[in-house]
Amino acid sequence: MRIKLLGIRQISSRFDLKRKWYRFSRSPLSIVGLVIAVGSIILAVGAPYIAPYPKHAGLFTNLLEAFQPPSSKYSFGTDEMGRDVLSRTIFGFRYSLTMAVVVLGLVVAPGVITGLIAGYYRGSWIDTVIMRIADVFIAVPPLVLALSIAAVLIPSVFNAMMAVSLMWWPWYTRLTYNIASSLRNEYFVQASEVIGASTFHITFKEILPNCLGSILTKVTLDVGWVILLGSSLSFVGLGAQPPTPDLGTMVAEGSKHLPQYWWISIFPAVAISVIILGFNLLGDGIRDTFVEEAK
Amino acid sequence: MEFETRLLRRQNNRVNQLLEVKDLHVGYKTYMGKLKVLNGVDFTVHQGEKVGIIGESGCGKTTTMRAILRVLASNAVIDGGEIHFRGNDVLKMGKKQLNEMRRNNVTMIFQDPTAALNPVFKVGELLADVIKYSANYGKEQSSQKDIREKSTDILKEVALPDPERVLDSYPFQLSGGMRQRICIAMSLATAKELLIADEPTTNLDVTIQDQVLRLMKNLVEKRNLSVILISHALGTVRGTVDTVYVMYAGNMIEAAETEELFSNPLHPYTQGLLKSVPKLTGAGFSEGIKGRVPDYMNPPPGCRFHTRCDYASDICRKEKPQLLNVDANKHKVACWLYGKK
Amino acid sequence: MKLSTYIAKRTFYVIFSLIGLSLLVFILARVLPGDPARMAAGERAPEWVVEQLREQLRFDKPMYEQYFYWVSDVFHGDLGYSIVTKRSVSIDILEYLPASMELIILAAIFQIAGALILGAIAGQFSFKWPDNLIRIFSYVGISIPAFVLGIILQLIFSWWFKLFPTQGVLSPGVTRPPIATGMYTLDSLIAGRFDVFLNVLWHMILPALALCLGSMMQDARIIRSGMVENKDKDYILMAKAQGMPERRIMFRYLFKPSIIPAVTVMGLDAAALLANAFLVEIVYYWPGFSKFGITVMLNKDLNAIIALVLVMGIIYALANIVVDILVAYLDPRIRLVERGE
Repeated sequence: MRIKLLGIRQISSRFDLKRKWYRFSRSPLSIVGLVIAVGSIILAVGAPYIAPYPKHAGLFTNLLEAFQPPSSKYSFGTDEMGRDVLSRTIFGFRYSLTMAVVVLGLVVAPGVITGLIAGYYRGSWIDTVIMRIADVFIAVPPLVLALSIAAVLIPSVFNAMMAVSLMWWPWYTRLTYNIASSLRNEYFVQASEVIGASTFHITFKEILPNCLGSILTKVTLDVGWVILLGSSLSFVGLGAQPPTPDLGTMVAEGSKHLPQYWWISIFPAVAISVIILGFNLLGDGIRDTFVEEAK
Repeated sequence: MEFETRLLRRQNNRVNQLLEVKDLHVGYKTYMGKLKVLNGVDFTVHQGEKVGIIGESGCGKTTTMRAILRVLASNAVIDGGEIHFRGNDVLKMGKKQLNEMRRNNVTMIFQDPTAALNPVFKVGELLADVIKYSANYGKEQSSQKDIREKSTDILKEVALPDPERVLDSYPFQLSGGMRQRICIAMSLATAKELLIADEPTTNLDVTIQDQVLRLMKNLVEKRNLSVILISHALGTVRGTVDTVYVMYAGNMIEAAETEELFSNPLHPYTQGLLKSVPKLTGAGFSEGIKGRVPDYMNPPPGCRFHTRCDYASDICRKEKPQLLNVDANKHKVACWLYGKK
Repeated sequence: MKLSTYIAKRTFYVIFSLIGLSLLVFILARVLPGDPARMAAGERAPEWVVEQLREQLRFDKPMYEQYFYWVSDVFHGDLGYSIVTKRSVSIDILEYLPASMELIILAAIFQIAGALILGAIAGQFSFKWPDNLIRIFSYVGISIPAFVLGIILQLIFSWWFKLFPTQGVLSPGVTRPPIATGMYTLDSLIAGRFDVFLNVLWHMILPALALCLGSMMQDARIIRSGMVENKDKDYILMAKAQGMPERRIMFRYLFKPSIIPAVTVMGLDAAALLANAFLVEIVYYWPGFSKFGITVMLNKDLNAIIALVLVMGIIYALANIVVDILVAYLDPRIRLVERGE
């Protein structure tokens, strides 16, 4: 199997990108989602250059200027250690998105592959084994599972990521399995079998492309979910530890100073919501564009 | 039925126009624009008459029928025209009057019996609702037992074996033929004047089609109903109706008594259509009609068939021909070949 | 298959999942770095204390033996011994769980009622302003994490507008009613203290809202989609064509099939309230299992953690079963069609 490197034009025509963009851009909410998502990524990547006080993101104390309300000097105010909330929030974007990228990067490929295999061999013992294992993870609410796994680990960002990764892959398995097994009996798959195409070919060249739309949608929506889960873990204290500027941790720390110094908690809280909202809208837009309506 | 009796009946009722559709324009609003489907539909049904409407899928037959009862989809828009039932304009009727018409006068059988029956209710429940709400609406309520009895009787009338079991079943537990019979039973549970049958047998197995069709014929005769039968199967229509309308791309383009139409088609489309039917005798494949059905988003101006017509002339491209008499009321056609030039 | 068979199947399936879950956490807890016995004893405890603890808590035995003992303990109602509270975990859970349950139940009631009402409104007025408003709220609602919403609601309605109490379950000066069920609401009712009951309810409203608002909006949207999608289905149009009154169509014919896809999601969301309750309780200092849970998690109290996870898993599983039963009741197709078509 040779891997062809495709140029932009070829990719565009192969996946009919121009038309998809037209369809995507019809929905204003999807555009909003795209803007927010791209904005978040820019903030995350460029945090050290965009944040006005990048040093505040780490160990920094300036008790003279602690608890300052939002002002022209500190747009989001300062927290209990005198750190600029705005800068820390921007760095918070970085932590959140990094977590999402790492988790999804770890989880999508294995999940999809297992799902494809289970779907292709539907009805056999391979199917049963894979799906039963996946079902165990799916049977429990995500937060409970994440909490339980994180609980037995030492709290840290890394471990939080591992915890979430461990419990997340079955969802991709199940998604791919559903599509793959329903396609399994479609004529075009059987036709390929009849002319002697290899299992590998059928799975990856025939079935997988049909799953891509749903997978892409889920990945986008999952960025939001992973961030939500991650910030929940941090809020409880099982994720990032202070002084790391993780958004969840910041909300937790800041909640001790409500309501007088509300800005310490509220700005990170709103930031979390905005990121999730952006990726949710984007995900919806992608779903409407890429996933064919079964009419 | 005997030819003379048919003719006599029609002559007696000729003055009794039951339903008249005039210049009906209906469109559908979609994501990408408006589909202008019906482009000025004209047709008439007289009392006791059986009218057939033939045409390709997508030409607007169902839309027209649904407009008559005003059960169009929510993205449909009626852009103009009139529908007169017994002199009353259906399009201007108030809710109460409209519902009365639906309950007492006109009834419809849908194309797909599976889709037409609510899947989460038992047949008995659906039938009971029809009886309670259609027939006795406002009048004294019948008891459960009475309704059950009436339901069983109705099911027997449509030749459903073991009506008790059917009443207690869900639609998906029954076969296609049985479901269509139930739909027929529901539509005729109470007395009506006009029956609209939208491709009633298209979704059934061929062996069942004949049975259901004969059942319908029986009921129609027994109750002296006027009928509008839609089909894209020419054979079905030919053996059943008195008058045939041919529809194309949102217009009625020809109308005549059945035998007259089949033996002497005037409109180029009808000619092409009849030639397309493969025959058991004779050689070769049918010719088909060149071109494709028009895009309703941007339909061709003038006569909508002109892009595929061998005889198209300038006026065809500019002005839409009206459905006019060409043979003393026996044959109407909408084509510039026969109309005023 | 019959409803009872279906229930049995689902129960078995769920138990299987629970076993898997318990195994997973069990293994994880014991496989990971760190010496649980040392952690239990504390940093400064002498070696022999650690040894004793290790024997007592069976950390020295091989894994499968530990698991076996644990399982048999569970079936005897003994969920282990908590290092943190120094008593049986079962007692701990019994003490803290009811308060959480009443919060969750209230939230579930809000969620279901809210979703049904808002969904029906959005469906009825689809594409007009009520629908759009609900749509916007649903996007926002699903994006805001429960604890964020909790904090925001607390800030606005407790601190700034002083409409609701900021935290806790009883106002200062109000004594807790004698413990009968552990639930503040029920206990106060049982004791006949209606004023306490109201006080508790007043404290419950904000946290319950924070718990359910997001899911409520999302579920409302699903109901709305169901209604919009089914509005143009043939079986609805047929009911219309039969002259059935609008109201009856909406509430009976449209409603039942439309909420079926929603019920599954609503059930899942209601069960997920369990997990979110954990977070919201912290914000409002609600005396439920969250404080206990966090403490044991931060202190690596393994027995307590596993027991807690198991209990949450069981509750979640029970909720799922209830939802499955409900869906099977509402949609006959699910229980009557043989699986593995």
